Amino acid sequence: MKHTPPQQTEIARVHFGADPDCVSTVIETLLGHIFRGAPPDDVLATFEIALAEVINNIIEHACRYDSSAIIEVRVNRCEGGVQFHFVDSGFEMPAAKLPAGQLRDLGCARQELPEGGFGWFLIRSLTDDLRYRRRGGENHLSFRLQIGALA
Amino acid sequence: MELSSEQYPDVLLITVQSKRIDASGAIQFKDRMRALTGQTAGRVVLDLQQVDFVDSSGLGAIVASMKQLDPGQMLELAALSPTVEKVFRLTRMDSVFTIHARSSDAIESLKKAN
Repeated sequence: MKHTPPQQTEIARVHFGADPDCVSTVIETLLGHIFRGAPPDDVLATFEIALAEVINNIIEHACRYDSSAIIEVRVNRCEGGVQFHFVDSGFEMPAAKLPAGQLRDLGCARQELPEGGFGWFLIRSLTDDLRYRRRGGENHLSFRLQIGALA
Repeated sequence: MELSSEQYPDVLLITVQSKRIDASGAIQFKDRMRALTGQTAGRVVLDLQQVDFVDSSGLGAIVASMKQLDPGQMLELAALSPTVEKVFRLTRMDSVFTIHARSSDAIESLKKAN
């Protein structure tokens, strides 16, 4: 079976250094390319959370906080939403696959509550078609965020 | 990472003055919370009205701050923005914390109880 990619239009291609202090600016820049005016609260929330978690992961685990490492993100309009494709030359994902991101039970004693492990759960909750590939020494991570009809 | 605090008769109100509690400020947040809550034994209300965004690191830091309290002490949250509320709801952490629409709700109800 041949897979025909859905119709896509490139909105933007952005490069940025792997620096945690720049994450909010990068997200603002991406949102500025995607939306004319402020999107509805829930759409904005989805985009901000998913993008922050993905970018944080790439900075921390792939690039290991090397702020001279460059991350590329290609942003494409697709049917009903926006597709993101992140590329970096950092370390490979452990076991070459995406973390499951399962939440732990919260009915435990206070001191046993988790302080981490939320990131991949949030990413999986908010994204469609999440894919990871290692190609030619690069990490390729892509996913879609739905927003219905774009302005 | 800026936090300010006001001590009421039975409630310590801590207001986050920064717009984000995220990966770049989570550790400072935890440290500041430990310093502020270490002196008090009663309820603690964390006002997040000025916070536009909390990521998974920020969420972890808020959970850690609660774990830093004495066993009987509660950490309550107030004034969550839509994006912050969504993070708590998706991770089901909204069932772990008492969440108020406004910090005045948390303090008024205490005055009524007295």
